[in-house]
Amino acid sequence: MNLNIDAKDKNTFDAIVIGSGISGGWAAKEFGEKGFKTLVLERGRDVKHNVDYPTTNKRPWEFEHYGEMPRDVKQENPIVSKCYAFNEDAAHFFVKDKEHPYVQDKPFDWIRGYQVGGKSLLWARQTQRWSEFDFEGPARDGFAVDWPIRYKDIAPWYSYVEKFAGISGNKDGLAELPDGEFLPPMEMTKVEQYFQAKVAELYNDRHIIIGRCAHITEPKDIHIQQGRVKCQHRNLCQRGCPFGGYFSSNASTIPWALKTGNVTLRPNSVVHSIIYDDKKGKAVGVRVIDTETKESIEYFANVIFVNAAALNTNLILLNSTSNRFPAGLGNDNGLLGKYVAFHNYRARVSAEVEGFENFTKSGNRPNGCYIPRFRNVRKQETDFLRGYAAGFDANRWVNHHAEGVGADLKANLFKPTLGGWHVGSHMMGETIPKDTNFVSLDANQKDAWGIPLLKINIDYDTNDDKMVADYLEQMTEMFEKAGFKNVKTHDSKQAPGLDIHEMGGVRMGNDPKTSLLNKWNQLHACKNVFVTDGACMTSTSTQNPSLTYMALTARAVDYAVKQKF
Amino acid sequence: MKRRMLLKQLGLLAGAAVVLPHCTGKETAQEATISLHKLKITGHHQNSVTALVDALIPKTDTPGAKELDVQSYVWRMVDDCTSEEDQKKFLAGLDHLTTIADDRFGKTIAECSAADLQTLLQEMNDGKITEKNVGDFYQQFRRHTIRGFVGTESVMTNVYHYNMIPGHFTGVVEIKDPNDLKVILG
Repeated sequence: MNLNIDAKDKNTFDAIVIGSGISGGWAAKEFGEKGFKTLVLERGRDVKHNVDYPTTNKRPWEFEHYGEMPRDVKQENPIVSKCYAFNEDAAHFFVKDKEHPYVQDKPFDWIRGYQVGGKSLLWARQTQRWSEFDFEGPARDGFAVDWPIRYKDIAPWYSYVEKFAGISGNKDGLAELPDGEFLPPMEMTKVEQYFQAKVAELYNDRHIIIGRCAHITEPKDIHIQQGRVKCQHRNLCQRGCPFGGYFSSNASTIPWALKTGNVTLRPNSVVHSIIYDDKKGKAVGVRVIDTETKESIEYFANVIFVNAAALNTNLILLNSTSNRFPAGLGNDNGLLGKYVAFHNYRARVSAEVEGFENFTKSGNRPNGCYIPRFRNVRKQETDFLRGYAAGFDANRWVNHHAEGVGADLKANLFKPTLGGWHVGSHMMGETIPKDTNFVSLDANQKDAWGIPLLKINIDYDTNDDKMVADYLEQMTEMFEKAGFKNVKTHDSKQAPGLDIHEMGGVRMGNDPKTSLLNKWNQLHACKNVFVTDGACMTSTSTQNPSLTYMALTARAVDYAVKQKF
Repeated sequence: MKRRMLLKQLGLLAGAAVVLPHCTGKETAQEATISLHKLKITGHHQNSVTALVDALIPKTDTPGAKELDVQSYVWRMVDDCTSEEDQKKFLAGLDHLTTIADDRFGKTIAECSAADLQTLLQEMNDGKITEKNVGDFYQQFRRHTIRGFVGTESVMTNVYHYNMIPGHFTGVVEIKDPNDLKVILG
């Protein structure tokens, strides 16, 4: 009897955070700093900053296949093999298809990173703020539900997380892409500068800017305190950065949280469900399966943050059934798992550039240029809803010469020459959340821990197709007006998921009848459970979403610690 | 000359490609010294590729591909990163090239001089020998040898000035010397 009480004491915390990725890391840091005894649960293995980056200092020739994945691995893992970063240097940070199956009612390339730090080790590090135009979108255009917050609610929290994470950017003064707390911007190439000026001359509402990204271009004291220094422009980010040059949970929030002495990190802990106490009328803890011992363990806390990554957060809530919530925690309206959306990354445009032969660049830039959304920003102007942002880059080709055989060939290989300039762009389109895009639990199939497999039912619609066509048309026009030649358009038709920007299913809103979370990211129907990862997103807009998750998380923890749960 | 002529006279030509590797004296039953995951290769295959790698990118005042062990990279790529179909073509093409070398020079590929092999390589390069998968073999062999060679530590550091930690990005660099490799490779 006493043993049980001891065990319960030992397993009781002030807060539990499920997930250690980009948002969970922030929850851990914030709770730890506020003096909350916090348990951070991570389903995957531990990845300690530097210690567990096995490839980080490998040089190209030290990889058996110079980076290319072996045929067997590709054949066994057709989904993750589609991801651009799934190569010999970073494959160990990706979930292999076979290890963690899921059900695709419609094709969905679900890219996952199960380890401490999650996908924060692998992300593309673009950190653009949302603007008022983004938060007001659903209300203005009549889709999804109204966001319960506006830009002014999150702006101070953007500043708060930007200062700590270290965000490089230029103050561009654009209402549709608010400026942040920027470290010095990275530079643009000669042709990027030309295109920037040309577009400014040709259009009032279109802008080419340098991407805002989570790289330390000039370390401040707060970064040095984290043991992080200036980005060294290695462009090897996906391996984990020994300099902490870019923001990851591993380099930043997790060690910071652990340093407070209030945070316990428990890797290899798959959360089965959240425990709801019908008598107390609140969540009291979580049920965890230790992946090494297979033991089922319960942990208790007054407040629970779910940051398991968008779709897995849906899974956990759907699997958290009780008498009060037979259809999943907080799911009184039956909308849990619905209105999932993502970013449309299908289309690309490229072209050749004449001239500028006297210029090139030097070094590497782990960043690109960015074209903020210009469609339907201030009013509806096209036959599709919302719009797209775009990436943009201009570089010179290097021509490698490999003519001939023998000594001639060798001499040629030693004399690469500079080729012409080329430009490329890719779209990042907003998709409209719909009740027909949803995730649910498979009725029969379970994973190795007895948790139902997630069933994914997500697809494009005609709005997406129209947007792809418009992006290809507009970008072609911009390239041609700038004098670029040989413009080529491409629609990859890639399945949803490969954008790795899946969002929603547990959306925020004002009305408990039509949303799951309130303006503080609390479940309407179970106030001591918060969701602050991608699952909370009411709409997707076009910005890379991680910065917004970080800001929402810090804001929600600040609110949570002031409540009496 | 020429085993092949002799075999023709003996009416054994149809089986020549199969028979030759097993019936040429010192190469009888010679086993490969590298261990591969999937491919089953003979010492003859191994020696042939090494000789061809050496001939395609020879030692000059700098190390050649053989000296930099590019042949191991070629086999690794064919063994691990190549479809089954292309693996078959690679070995079939190599076998037929063996026949051609014997036909022309009366020697195994490994016994041929660099000049002889370079003649064959040039013809394959010009698309003059493509039959019986020789073209497929050559495309794969050439791609892997070149990639393997330019990716070696020796070439990456001594020729291309590889630097893992550039420490900077400069967006606009005005080119003073268009032949300066450091500028070209940026």
